Amino acid sequence: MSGIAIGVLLFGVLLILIALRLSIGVAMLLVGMIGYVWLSGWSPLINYLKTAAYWRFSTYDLSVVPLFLLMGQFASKAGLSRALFHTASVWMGHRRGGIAMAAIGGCAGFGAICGSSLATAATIGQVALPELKRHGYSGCLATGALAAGGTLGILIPPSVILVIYAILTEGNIATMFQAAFIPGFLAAFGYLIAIAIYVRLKPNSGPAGPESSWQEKVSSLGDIWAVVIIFVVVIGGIYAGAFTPTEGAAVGAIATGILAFAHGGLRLDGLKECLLGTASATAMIFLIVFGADLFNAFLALTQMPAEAARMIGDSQLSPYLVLVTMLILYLIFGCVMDSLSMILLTVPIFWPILMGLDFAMDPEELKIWFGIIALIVVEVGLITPPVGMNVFIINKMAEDVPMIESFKGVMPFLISDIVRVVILILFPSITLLLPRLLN
Amino acid sequence: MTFTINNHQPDPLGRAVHASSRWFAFMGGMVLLGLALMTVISIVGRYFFSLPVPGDFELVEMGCAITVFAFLPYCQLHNGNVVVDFFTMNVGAKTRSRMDSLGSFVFCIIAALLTWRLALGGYDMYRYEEQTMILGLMRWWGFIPIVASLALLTLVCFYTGVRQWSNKSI
Amino acid sequence: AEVELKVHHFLPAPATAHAKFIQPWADKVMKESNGRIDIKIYPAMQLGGKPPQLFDQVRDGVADIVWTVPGYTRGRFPLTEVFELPFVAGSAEATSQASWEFYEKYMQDEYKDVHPILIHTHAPGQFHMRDKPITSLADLKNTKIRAPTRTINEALSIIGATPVGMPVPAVPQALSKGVVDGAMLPYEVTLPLKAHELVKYHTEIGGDRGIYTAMFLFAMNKKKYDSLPADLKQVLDNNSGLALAKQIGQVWDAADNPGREAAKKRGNQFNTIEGAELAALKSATQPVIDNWIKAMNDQGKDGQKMYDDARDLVTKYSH
Ligand code: NA
Ligand code: NA
Repeated sequence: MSGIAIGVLLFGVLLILIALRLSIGVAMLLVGMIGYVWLSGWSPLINYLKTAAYWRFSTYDLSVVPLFLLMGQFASKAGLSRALFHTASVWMGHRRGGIAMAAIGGCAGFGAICGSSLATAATIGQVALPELKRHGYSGCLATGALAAGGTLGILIPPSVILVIYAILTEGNIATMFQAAFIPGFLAAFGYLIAIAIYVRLKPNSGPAGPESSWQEKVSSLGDIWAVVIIFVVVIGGIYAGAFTPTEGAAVGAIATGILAFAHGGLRLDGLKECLLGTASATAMIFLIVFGADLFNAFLALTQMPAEAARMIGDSQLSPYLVLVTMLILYLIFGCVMDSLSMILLTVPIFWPILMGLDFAMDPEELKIWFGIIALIVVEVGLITPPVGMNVFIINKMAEDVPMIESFKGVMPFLISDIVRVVILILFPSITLLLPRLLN
Repeated sequence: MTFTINNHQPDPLGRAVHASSRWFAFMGGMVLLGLALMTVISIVGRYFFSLPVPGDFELVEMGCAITVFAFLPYCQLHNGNVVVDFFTMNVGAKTRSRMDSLGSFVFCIIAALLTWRLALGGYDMYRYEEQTMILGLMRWWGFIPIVASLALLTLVCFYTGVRQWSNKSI
Repeated sequence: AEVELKVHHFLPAPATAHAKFIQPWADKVMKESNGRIDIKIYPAMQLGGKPPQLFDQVRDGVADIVWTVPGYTRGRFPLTEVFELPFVAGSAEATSQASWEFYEKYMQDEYKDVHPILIHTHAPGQFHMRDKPITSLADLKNTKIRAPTRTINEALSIIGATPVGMPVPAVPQALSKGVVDGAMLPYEVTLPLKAHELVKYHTEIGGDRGIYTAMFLFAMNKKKYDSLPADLKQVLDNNSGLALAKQIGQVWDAADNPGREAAKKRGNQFNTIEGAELAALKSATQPVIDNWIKAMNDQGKDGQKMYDDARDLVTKYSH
């Protein structure tokens, strides 16, 4: 059997095992090991395993992941999610659909200090769902807005997926964060527009709330100073290069930890809760990263990525056609898979292919541009049926809303996502503006 | 995500597994918190006194490894690992639980393999006296908590596998 | 092909090591074997793992051949450090040949688990500083400097600088924002990192010896080598050892030129430490050498003799 045939065969086996409920990291480990033994032998495998996990887990760049997760945990304990949502409702609540818009605003704000999508959805969902219900919002709009808003946790830097992407492509984490900034805020803006249009079409789904006085509006800003300062210091510091992403995350974790302590949410029990929450999320991510390591080493042995890159390079296909095909594949896989494993599984195959095509673009810029577009598209998977993790999380919190309603509710946001992706593909300079300015 | 039907109280083994996983995760978290604190001190030292904590980068690397390994058992015990359940939504709860059980046993074998291999890897580090670049810390001592974490992970996978096989709560 | 060899290394394909050494070497071996040997090169750690694992990978047969930096695993290859001691290394051409001869004389035991094809160095590195030039020993005090080897880190500590350990890809960012005041690198590396655009001052070392270099090892799995038929072994042997060290040393010496030219073109300032300042630097870093000699003596070896030999060998191959 040729290496490529083995590669394709085991890729199929991997997908089947995942469909049969084997956890994704374990599935990649298992199949990677089988492939490795097949192509290289048993003794190379077990020798490789002596230190592979150790060195992978002791990677400076990856240490940013648990630190950002810890920062997110502390930020919830510090009551920052409540403050963010409250301020946003004071400013936007009087409009039609305003409380839902406030939920988006809260997600955007929380996303600016949290690196994960699920955490953002869950945290803002906790404070926003009861309010949306109280103001008579339809379950459809309420859960849809929160599920979609949760994706801002990844789209607005810091973002765990971008860290992984940068490591896979040997890119710079700080540059990826810079590039994500404008598209992230476009995402939030697009979601607000989606709500505005939706409530115009269905006025009953999002009634206007009471108007707040100017005094209330101004004083509400006082509650979110902490978020603003942390974002400016952490992300600003990373952008300006004053410290590495890991250092920024450490500063953020300590700062939010102190806030949480001052807020009263962080005593021994609270600390335990935060650390255990960080533990679960971190271990899940690192297990997948390690599994992908082994699986990708096996794929490299099959020569499949290099072969595929050569074949597509020779085929004279239009580069944009190849790119769009990849994005459609992401959308399809995104229906059932999680974003991290999709990135880990596909980037080692897709990236060499893209590098071999002529986009009339500097390779570093191509890396940034593709990374951001891929990020958006894999995040869409979090809200597409049948498996949309964000939708599941929010729907579970809103017990009286049927799942089908929630999936209907995310449709306007899905459309907004697609429009944004098209814009970013047509105008790469939107994504590249900030990295160009700052470097 | 798995939902279990029978809610038995965990047996003594279960209690021990739960307590030790929680303890490992908590200690790992404390290491992480320590790394964050050390990094902040290093930044302050660097900017104000031109004196970063010596070897700060390698401390982060080593500490991160210890932390992540310590987190693994807790994650497995609390169903933290990502599972695609779309294709098995229509099979019965009992069958699904059996599938998860098989998954846990597969992970158990892999964890046992890793425990064995990393123990040897750590022994190599000891034999060759491998050190970190700046501080010259012996790398092998980091393998002690790491191998302990992996041994616990193996036990946890076995425990979850057994519980899931008979569709009992973990 | 009769034999398939997997070559694994940590640099991207455009790097000197890949483009000017490993790829041409592989092409030559394949040709001279009349196609009986097939070599596949996996750059940028494609076969998995991180650079410090490369030595174990070739020892254990995870890869058949690797190109690596033995110094990545501090403590494991103490003898190899002799050419990394201050003011031992000369040009890459001379030092590479010297290190091969030194290997044959003293280091067979250190690398007994693998089959070395080549041991070589890069041309000596320099100080690349962002805000203030280094013209004397005193200038180095209280500066934060990123340095790549254990010995040069020790030297920096001894003379009152703060060595900062960080991965190479982090260096440009760290330089541009003053996380470090400078970095020690050969010009060969400053160009791809664009470090010359981030610094204003370069300090070179006068005389025929550099303050630091790093050793590289290009080695094959022992079992794999032993399993080859005699004529294929011969093909590999013809492309190993002293002659190869000379040729590859020249490649690395030449690789410095574009980097130095680019820095010049940008109008960066060049300084040289020489005369009394050089003497001061030498005596200030002498403890690093003494420590190494003592460590060797403690292992029952003749440290002083090996050190002197290493220096003499570099002289022998310098023209
Ligand atoms: Na974020
Ligand atoms: Na989905």
